[in-house]
Amino acid sequence: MSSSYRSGTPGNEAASAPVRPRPTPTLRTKGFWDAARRGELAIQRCSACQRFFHPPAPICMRCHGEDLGFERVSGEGTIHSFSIMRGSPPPGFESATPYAVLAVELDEQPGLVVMGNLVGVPPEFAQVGRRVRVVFQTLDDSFVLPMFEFIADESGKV
Amino acid sequence: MTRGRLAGRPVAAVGVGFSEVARRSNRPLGSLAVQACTRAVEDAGLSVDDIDGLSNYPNASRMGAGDVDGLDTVGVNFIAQAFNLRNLRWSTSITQGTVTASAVEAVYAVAAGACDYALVWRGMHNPANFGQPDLRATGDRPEFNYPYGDIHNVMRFSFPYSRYMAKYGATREDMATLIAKIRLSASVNEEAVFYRQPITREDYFGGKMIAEPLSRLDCDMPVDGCAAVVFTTAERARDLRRKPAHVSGAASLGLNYSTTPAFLLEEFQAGAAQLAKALWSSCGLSACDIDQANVYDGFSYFIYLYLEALGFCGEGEAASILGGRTAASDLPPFNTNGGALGMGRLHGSPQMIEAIKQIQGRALDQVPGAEVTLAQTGGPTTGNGALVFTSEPL
Repeated sequence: MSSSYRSGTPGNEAASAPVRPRPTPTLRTKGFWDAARRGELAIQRCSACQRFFHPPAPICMRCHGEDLGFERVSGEGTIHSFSIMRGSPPPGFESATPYAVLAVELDEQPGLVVMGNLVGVPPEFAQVGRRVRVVFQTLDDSFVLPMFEFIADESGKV
Repeated sequence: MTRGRLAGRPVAAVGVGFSEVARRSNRPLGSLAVQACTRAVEDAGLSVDDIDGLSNYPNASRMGAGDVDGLDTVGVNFIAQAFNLRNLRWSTSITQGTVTASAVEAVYAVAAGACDYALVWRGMHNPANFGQPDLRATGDRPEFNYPYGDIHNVMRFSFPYSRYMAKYGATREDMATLIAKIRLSASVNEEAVFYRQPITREDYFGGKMIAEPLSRLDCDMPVDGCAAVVFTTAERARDLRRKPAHVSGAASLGLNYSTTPAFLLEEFQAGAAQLAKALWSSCGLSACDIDQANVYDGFSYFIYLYLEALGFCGEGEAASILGGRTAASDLPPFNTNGGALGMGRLHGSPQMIEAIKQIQGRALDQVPGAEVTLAQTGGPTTGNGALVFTSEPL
C-alpha cells in the first residue's frame, strides 16, 4: 500500500469505525472540503449561469464560464439511490459492514448528487425517495466528512 | 447524412473462437489469446498470415491489475509479435466500449479498405493474487466515494439497480427467474464457465449478497480466457469456409455526459438509448426486425436496461416480463448461450459470437431461421458498442 495512504485509527472513532481512505483535495476540490471543516455543505457553482457541479468541474459545463466558486447549499435532499455493503467489504471497512452508501440528490438542482454514508439508523432503512439532511463526521485526524441522516417527518418519527 | 446503410465495402464476420475458459487458469493469458485467435482464424478457413488488421480493447480486467502485455492484458503489440504478422497494415486499441466497440472499429477499417482481414479479441485475466485497488482517494471518483466505502465496482454498479427496483417495482424474485433461465442455457454450453452448473431460483436467493441489491449471482464470473472474431469483406467472405454473418448495423457510443459521483439510472437509460438510436439509424432496422438478441449482462440488470432501450419492451417493463409477472410480449430469444453471466466475464465476447453463430445456423440453442441478430455490449455510460448481423447483405 502506498505511503501516502493515510489510515484512520479505529478506536478513535466509534468501536466499529472503518479505516477510511482520506480525500486528497486539489485546488479544484478544496472548497468542498474546507466548507465541510466549517460544518457547511458547499457545492461548486458557475457565477455566470448559476449551474451547480459536483464533483467540481474544470469549467462550467453548460455556459463554459471560468468563474466557478463554492456556494453553501441547504444540505437537504432525497435518496436518489443507495447500496448496502454486505458481503465483500473493501480493505478497512470490514468492521463497519454492513453499511449504506447513499447517492443524495440535493434540493438545489435535479441530478445534483452527493455521496455519504447513512448515519443514525441501521443501513437497511435506506430507501429511494427518503428525505435526508447532511451531518458532519470528524475523523480522528480532524478530517471532516459530510454524511446523511433521515429528516424526521411531521410526527417526529425518523 | 446518409441513413440506413453502413458506408464503404460490405463487411462480414467469418470466424469465431473461444480459448479454454476457467475461473482461474495456470496458463499465461497470452497463451489463451493465441489459442482463441488461432481458432477464430482457422474457423474462417484462413491462416494467420492473412490477418492485416487488428482491433482490441486491452483494458485490464480488474482494478489493481497489472498491465504486462501478454500476461495481465493482451493488446495489439503482443498479438502482432506472437503471430509475427508481417502483412499488418492497420491496428487500433480503444479505451472504451469492450469487444463490440473494438469490433465496430474493425468493421469500419475493413469497410474503408484500411485492411482486408481484421482480427478482434478480448482476453481477460483473473489470477488469485490480483491486486487490490489503489486506495489513495485521489481523483474525482476516489475523492468523493472512497471515504464512504464506495470503492469496488459491484457497489458502484448497484446504485442504478436500487433505483430501478424502487421506480418500477422490480424484485429479486423477477431476477431469480431470469438468472435461473440464463444458467440453464449455460449449463449445456461446453464453452461456458458454468457448463453443467444450472441453478434454481432458490439458489439465487441463497447466493452471497455483496453490495445490495447486487449479489454474487448478479455479476458475471471473472475468468481467465479469451475470445476472438475475424471480419473481412462480404466479397471475400463468399469464398471462405463459414456462412458469412453480414454486418448490417454498427454503433459505438454510450459515453458519459455527466460527472455525478454515482452512476444514475436515468443517465444509464439515456446512454443506452443513444446507442440504440445510433444503431438503428445505421441500418434502418428496429427491434421488431431482430430474430435473436444478445445484450450485455456484466451486471444482471443491464439486461433490463438494454432490452428496454433497444425497444424490445417499454421502459421499466423488462423485469416484470422476464420475471413472468407480465404476459410475454414479442421479445425475441436472447442471450441463448448464457451470455457473460453464464459463460464468464469475457466482456461482450459471448454476445458477439452468439449473434454470429445464430446467423451461421450453428448455435447450440439455434433459433430456427434466424436472419437478423444483434450483439450489444458495454456499460451504458462507460463505452458501449453494438452490431446487427444479417444472413444476407442489407
